[in-house]
Amino acid sequence: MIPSLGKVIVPNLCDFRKPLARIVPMPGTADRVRHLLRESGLTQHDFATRIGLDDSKLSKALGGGRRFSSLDLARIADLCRVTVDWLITGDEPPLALAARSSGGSAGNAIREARRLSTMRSDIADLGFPQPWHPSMTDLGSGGWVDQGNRLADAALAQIEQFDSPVEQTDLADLVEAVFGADVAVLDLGSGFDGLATSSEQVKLIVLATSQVPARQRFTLAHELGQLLAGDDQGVHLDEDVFDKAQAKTPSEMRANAFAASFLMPEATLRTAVGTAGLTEQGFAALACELVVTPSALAYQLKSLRLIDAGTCDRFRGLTGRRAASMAGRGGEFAKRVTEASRPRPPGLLVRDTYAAYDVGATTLRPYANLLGVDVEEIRRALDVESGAFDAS
Amino acid sequence: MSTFLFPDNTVLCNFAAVERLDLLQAVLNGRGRWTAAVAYETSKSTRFLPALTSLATGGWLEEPIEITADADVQHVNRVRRAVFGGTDDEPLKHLGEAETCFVIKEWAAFAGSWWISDDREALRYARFQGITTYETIDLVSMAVADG
Repeated sequence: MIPSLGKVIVPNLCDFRKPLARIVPMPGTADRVRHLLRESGLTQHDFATRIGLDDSKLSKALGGGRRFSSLDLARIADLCRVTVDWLITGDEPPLALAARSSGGSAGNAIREARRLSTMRSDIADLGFPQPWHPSMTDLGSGGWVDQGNRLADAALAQIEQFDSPVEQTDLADLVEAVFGADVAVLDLGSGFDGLATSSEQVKLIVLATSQVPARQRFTLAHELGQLLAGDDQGVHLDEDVFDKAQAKTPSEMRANAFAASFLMPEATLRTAVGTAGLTEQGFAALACELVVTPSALAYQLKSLRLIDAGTCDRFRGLTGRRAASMAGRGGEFAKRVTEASRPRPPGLLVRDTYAAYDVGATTLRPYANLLGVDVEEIRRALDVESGAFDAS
Repeated sequence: MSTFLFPDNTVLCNFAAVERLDLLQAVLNGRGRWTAAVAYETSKSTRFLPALTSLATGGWLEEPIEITADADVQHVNRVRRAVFGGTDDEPLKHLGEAETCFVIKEWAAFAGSWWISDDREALRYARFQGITTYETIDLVSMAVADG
């Protein structure tokens, strides 16, 4: 089978890195290895030596007279910084493509998302699939904002069955429990808010650690909106979730509308405003209650015509810290900042990886890798029979 | 059907470290086998344990077993990642373990073979999969019993 040109992208070579200048058809493993050999700049003899083959074996394999072995392909993959799966199929998942065109914090996020996605796909094959439960709703034919609002209504209805109000729960825990998407929080440095990646086997949200908990929370809701909208089979990146230029694209408009309605439902805001309107004090308390940034709340109130433009301008000048102080919730604010600053492994993947170990379907290593700890160390900890203190 | 014995690289290194590969050869008694990835791992270890060179030249583990069918290679790669914790960034890590498990579990010719390892994680997994396992110390005991 000759794959479509759209899927066949020249892989990046770390040792002899070249720009992704060409798209060439490479229908079989031998074609892909021949391509890597060309791009490497090595002689065929040197290439063969580097992958542990003699000239004759490599020539035969390239000519179709011998199959590459598991070890040969792993050594080629190691040398050329490609994957064994790509050598065999020629297909690259969207995350792999994105990883090659992104650097800095975004690149780190994509690489980690790729690692976690691969782990989920692999463990799904062992009988531990992503427990994805999307909201059942018809997006309809309305505008993108209307679609986002309808999606948020359906999501909130789904959450109601869990008896855990959105604003009073760790949102990452809630998203995992209700919708079955994995949420990872990673220390990625500055300049990146989050991403959502979706495939048949994987629903994953990656967020950056942040000292602005309400921004991290908005990003999580935004990425959830992307996943629930369900039309993005690939990766959706948000280096700046509040970027005005990006916010004009249809899927961003829908995801932003979803996040706003999800975190700040119209009914809740109307009740809060009541007939008397909102004082600055009341506004600050509401922002704290909903765990949203004052600016996001001000814009949502304005878009619902619950405040006018002048009031919006006045309210959105408040910082989260100042709002917390005005509402007498400084301690709670400090706790949220601390929580948002901490990395968090994807909860469902952690659960399923341990379950797979528990029933003997895997070693403990994948679980230890997820937690970022040494396998021997965690095995010793798990093997301790009792942590009780004997005072007798 | 013969029962073959698949020592992993650590086991081979243990015997090489005390210069008693002859003892291992005697215990294996012509039934020893290794996959291509284990042979590769062992070749890397010769830098520290030159005695291991004799394994490749001696031929008493037979020719390294190669896995070449696309579906099999992908299966091995998935096992390497999902079971043994390997990653795509390090395609050779845990490949020997994955290949050994694969051929014992999936290839009729090696059904019922023993896996010899000292890695507790690998041993636990293998036992859950119904693979008979032994450790270096077991082979030493067999050698002593055999005189």
